[in-house]
Amino acid sequence: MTQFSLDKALQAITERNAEAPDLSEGIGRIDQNTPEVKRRRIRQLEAAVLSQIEYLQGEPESELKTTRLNVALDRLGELRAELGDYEGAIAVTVDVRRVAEYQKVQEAIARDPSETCACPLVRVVDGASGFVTLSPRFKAQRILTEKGYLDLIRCANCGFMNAK
Amino acid sequence: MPRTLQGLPKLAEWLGFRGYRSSVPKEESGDYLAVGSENVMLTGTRKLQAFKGMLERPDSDGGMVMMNVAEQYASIGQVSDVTAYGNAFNVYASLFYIGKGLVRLAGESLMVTASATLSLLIKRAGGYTDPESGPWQAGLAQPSAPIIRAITPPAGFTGKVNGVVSAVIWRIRSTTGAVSIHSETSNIVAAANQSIAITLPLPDANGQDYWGIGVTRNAEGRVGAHFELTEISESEVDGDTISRTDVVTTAASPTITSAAAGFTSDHIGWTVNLTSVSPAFTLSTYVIAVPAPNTLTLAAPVPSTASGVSMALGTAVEGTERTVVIEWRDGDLIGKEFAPYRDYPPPNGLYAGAIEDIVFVDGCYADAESATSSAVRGSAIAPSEPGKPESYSPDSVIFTNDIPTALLRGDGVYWRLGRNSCYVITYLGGQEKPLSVQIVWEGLGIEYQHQACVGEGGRVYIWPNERGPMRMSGQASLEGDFATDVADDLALCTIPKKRVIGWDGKFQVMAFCYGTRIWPWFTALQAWGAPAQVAADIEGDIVSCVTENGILLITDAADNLYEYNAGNGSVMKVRTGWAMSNGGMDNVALIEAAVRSDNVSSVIIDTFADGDETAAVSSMAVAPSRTGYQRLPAVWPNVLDCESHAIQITIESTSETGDCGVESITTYGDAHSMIR
Repeated sequence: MTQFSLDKALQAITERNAEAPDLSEGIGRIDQNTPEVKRRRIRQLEAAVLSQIEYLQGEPESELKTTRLNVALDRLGELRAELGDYEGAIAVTVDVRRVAEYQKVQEAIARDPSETCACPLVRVVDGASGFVTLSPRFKAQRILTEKGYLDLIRCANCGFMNAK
Repeated sequence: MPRTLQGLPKLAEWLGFRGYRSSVPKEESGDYLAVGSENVMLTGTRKLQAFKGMLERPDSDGGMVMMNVAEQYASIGQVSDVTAYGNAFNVYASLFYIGKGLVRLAGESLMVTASATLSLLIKRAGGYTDPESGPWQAGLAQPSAPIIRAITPPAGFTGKVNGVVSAVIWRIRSTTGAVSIHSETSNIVAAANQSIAITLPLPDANGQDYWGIGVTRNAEGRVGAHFELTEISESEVDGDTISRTDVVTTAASPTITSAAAGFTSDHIGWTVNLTSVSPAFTLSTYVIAVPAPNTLTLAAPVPSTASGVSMALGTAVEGTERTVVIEWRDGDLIGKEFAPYRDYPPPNGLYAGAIEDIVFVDGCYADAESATSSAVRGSAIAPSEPGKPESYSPDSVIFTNDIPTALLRGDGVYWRLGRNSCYVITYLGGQEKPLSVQIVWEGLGIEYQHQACVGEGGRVYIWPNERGPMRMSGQASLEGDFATDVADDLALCTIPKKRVIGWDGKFQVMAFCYGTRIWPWFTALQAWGAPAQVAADIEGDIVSCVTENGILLITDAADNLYEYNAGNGSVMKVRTGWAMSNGGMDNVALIEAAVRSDNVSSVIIDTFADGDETAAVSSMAVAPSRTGYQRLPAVWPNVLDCESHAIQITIESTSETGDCGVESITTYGDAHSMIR
């Protein structure tokens, strides 16, 4: 039998491993924003939320249950929107402001990609390169859709949105 | 000179018991507790003490796996789900959890279920059931880009921005410091001694409560990097709402009045929504001036004259809601960090822990196709960024060759056990490689989380599937010799998932539980107590253990929770080893025993003969004359012609604080040289 000392044990581990190669950190980047990786990750998050919803639905009625259920449903809607399933997001989301936002994005995706608003370009002085032309339309977000990633283009003036 | 009593020579004497031994050779003499002994604890210098039994905590539930959290304990999974696993731990003012099953804290359900996604509840007003507590999933998603406009500086601003600029934003959870990666770049605007109004999207549904804003240097809006400028609370962005139902309007006039005062210049730019019933009209515009405390000038004229008009006034900048005003000089950005770009959410995993300023998720990256779960288990460890428990750069993953089956918090380290190995995870500090993961041993491990426990001085004990109990030696290798005394008993415990071990800091006991029995290993005494039989105290089998403030808590198969050795007593059985006759055979005429009793109920003294452990040849009852230490009245079993004999004292303790034990047992009689 031996008396145990954590310090001595850790020292022994270190000494024993001194000649062995250390466990290496990853050197290859795992890009979490490729459509496949992102979809898989969101589906995992979605599964976690669904299991929470399933659990809550089996619980007796209470204020906390309602609150937690609303939180979970809004989160589920958000994850579905991130997956590009705006129809599914609208169906479950409780917060009406989010529903309105998902509807706008859904309409933007449905639009002809060439459609645009009439807001004019603006010609301004750029300190670095002289006169430049600025567009009020900019890429607000990369959104995942069934077609892969699309750029959600938004007009800063009129709010018009399109996806391409 | 041999002692005699009533003229009878002493046959055998047992005192100073050296613990319980189930695997000792039957004919080896010694002062040990033999098979048949039950409910015996050791105290002091191996003084026998009756096991106190199990004290139920009626208002608390246990769980399938349990662990310490702050000064409490948490459990994951109801006992009906043997596949439950995971960890719960404290980070900032929040409870992080991962695994599978219902999460309870201090025996009460938090109404959240753990999954392979690292999640958290935020402590508010002393609890985790506030509506704002969550649950939230660790990590925040990238927001959409903001919209910016160059505006005339409002009150409090001076117009510092010049040239083309752009902005990015990111989400923040203030309680943990979590941030998302920054958004795409906003639209680009040109400013001329102006301020910037920045319109933010809706917050996420994942507990975000702040926004981070990053901007370029002046005139670098098209090409410049974005630096952190400021953080703004969502409540400030969301703003206030004022409602009135007494508004008077005049046709074609932009001026409206309310009977109540209270308007100030702060309301300039706020949105105004007017609704009139008769005549019916609605108008959405914003405030451009506040000429009097009860008067507003709107950006658009009102269509009709009316009174009793309803008005909703909402926080905005130039009529745009969810907008705040910022401005900066280039000098304001000196020394500022780049807008966050390494702050990805954690990957899914099986276990997680916190060590110094790092949180790590273990068992990640299981499968290229399927989601990580209890069935699809990964082997990588993903550490967070230092001080950012929800930010995980995807290029700082640590790869191991083993899938974890338990992650135990030790004294400043984590022990990571798998089916075939044990690793130690220690903190190194530093941005690039904050954790060290070293192999401790290979070739032996555990299948279920409750098969491992950290005991005295941070020592790891395991009860693996294929072997008896093992523990870490002083040189951090595995040793099993401490458990050889009970090897015969524990060899019968063949179902791995029923092997549960727990640490009692109060009694310095490593408790090895199987079904309804508990074998206590007294680490300070280096000896075993006789197994506690708790079938009458609990429902079904023991499923898990946790140490709370030194007290060992045990969960049974009905999720009930009990304190170990804290009840109102038990029926203690002290059975001696076999005393072999010095001649051919003994006549056991008299038995004398010294006990400590906490009541005066009868004590049973059984005599076993000739190696038969199953049935006593004599059973006699004798009542203590009082409580406390005493020699019991002698009993005369008169067992004749036995080649060997053993004695069992059965004594019931009936109080939590009482003192009950056996001090010594002595047998007297004569021996003769006849043999069978």
